[in-house]
Amino acid sequence: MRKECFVVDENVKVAADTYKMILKGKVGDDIRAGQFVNVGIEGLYLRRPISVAGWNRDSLTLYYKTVGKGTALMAGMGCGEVVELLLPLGNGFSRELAGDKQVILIGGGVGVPPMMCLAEEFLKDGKNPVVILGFNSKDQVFGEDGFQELESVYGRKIDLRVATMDGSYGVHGTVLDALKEEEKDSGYLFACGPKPMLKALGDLPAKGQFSLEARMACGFGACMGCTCETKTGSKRICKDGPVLLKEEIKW
Amino acid sequence: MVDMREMANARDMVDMVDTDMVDIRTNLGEWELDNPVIPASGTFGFGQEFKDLYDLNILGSISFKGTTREARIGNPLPRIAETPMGMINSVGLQNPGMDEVIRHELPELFKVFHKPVIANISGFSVEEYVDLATAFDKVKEVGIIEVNVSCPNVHNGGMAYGVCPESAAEVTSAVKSVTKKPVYVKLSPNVTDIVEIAKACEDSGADGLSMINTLMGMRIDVRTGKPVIANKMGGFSGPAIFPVALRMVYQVTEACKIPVIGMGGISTPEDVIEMMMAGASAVQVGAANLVNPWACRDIIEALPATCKKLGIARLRDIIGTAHK
Repeated sequence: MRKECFVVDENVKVAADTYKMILKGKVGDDIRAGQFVNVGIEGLYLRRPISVAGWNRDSLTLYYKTVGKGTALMAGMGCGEVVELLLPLGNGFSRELAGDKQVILIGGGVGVPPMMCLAEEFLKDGKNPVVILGFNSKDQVFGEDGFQELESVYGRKIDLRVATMDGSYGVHGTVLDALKEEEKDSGYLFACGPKPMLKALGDLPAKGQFSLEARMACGFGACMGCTCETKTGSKRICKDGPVLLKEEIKW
Repeated sequence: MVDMREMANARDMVDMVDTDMVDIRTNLGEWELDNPVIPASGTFGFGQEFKDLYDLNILGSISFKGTTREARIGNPLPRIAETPMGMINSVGLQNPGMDEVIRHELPELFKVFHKPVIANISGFSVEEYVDLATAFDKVKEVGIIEVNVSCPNVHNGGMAYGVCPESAAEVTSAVKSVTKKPVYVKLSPNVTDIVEIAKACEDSGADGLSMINTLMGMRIDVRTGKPVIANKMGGFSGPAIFPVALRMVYQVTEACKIPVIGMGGISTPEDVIEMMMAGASAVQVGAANLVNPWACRDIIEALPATCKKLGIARLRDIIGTAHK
């Protein structure tokens, strides 16, 4: 874990209440998909945990939804503003556990961003992932362009499907409706999103890894503020997670 | 004790004093600490999350995660709420229990920390406090047993002992009877008269006091109309509570002779100095560790220069100057 100052390079609205922020600074080479950063915000005591959507040597991409005071303040940040981050935090996804199975990346709402860098890592591995994005409605859809860009950069195909609950865009229904029957059995699921979505995916026979969310204080395992019970004992979402094996989650 | 006018005069000379010459050692009874900065229980675990960030041996000591006799899984989530310049937590004493702490957590801590530690214990009965004190009495690296009579999170738990002088005295006497190690009682601020309770502990043989624990607090999510924290209420900490802590340390050190470890929102070297001027012999840093994991290191490193700036040559000389 490091503490680094980053400069806001881009901060734009990409969908209803959803923003994309690009930060310039010293990123390092030890970040993995599924990890997060804890963002210090002027005037607020606690940092805000935001999952990483993408990175390179000197820039970091985050997406966030304005749900409270902290994210509203983030949305008001202009280019050139400095933010202090703790990074990288959390365990991240373990891609190797998927073996030879078809990998299926499922993001719901602001659960989409970690799937962007996970998709990139699979493309680097030479795998073609299935990516399913779920939203409530068309005005909330974001991220398609990011996956399309990855396809052209790596010259590989991503089977990208979008579902909206109200049917205003893509498949009408939830991410489950965008899954093929055989994928529910034989695929390997990587998912991040609202708890009801994860729970529904949890009922499928396919194995996988889910990234969970919790209110945190420290973000690095010191305060025990985000501990949850799993089938393999107490786990701190921030440090032992946020990624848990599908099989160990107690719903 | 230094007179403030003398200190003002000394300030003219400080440019000649090297920061290396500033003496930041302090004492808790006979135990001399390299400096007064100790991470507070519950914000530092057993050191494992911090050991790779800096050399823990720069710390005065470490008060490790509050330990109970049996393992506790803690309270339901959410356990955390934010407040202006502070936070509320309701972790509920999640810990692996004393046997596991002694068998596993402490040996791991002692691999990276080579000074005496402070054993923070919490019980639900006098017998449990006695069992905990008996167990930690046998751990040679434990320098102080810190008896938490004030955790606000556990129903029918610690709170009952810390809120009235008789029960605080009962726990103090019981713990004292089973250990020769110094016993510091960690007081709750959620009382009408903290001085009365502090005196009861002193009269029952407490070697010192740690104060204050968190203030009881609450937040409600205005969108849902429901408490933010699952357990509804929790312990309020952070810089917002510093003036309350400072006032209570001042009042108690006015009335008691035993040393006090002051805590409550300390996050800067100036806060350390202010708390010591109020009467604290050492300090604990709590919530600040969660926001800046390097907080204790930063404070310790800046302390000599801050002392120099203020004309303080020996930190222990400022203890209680505000009472003069």
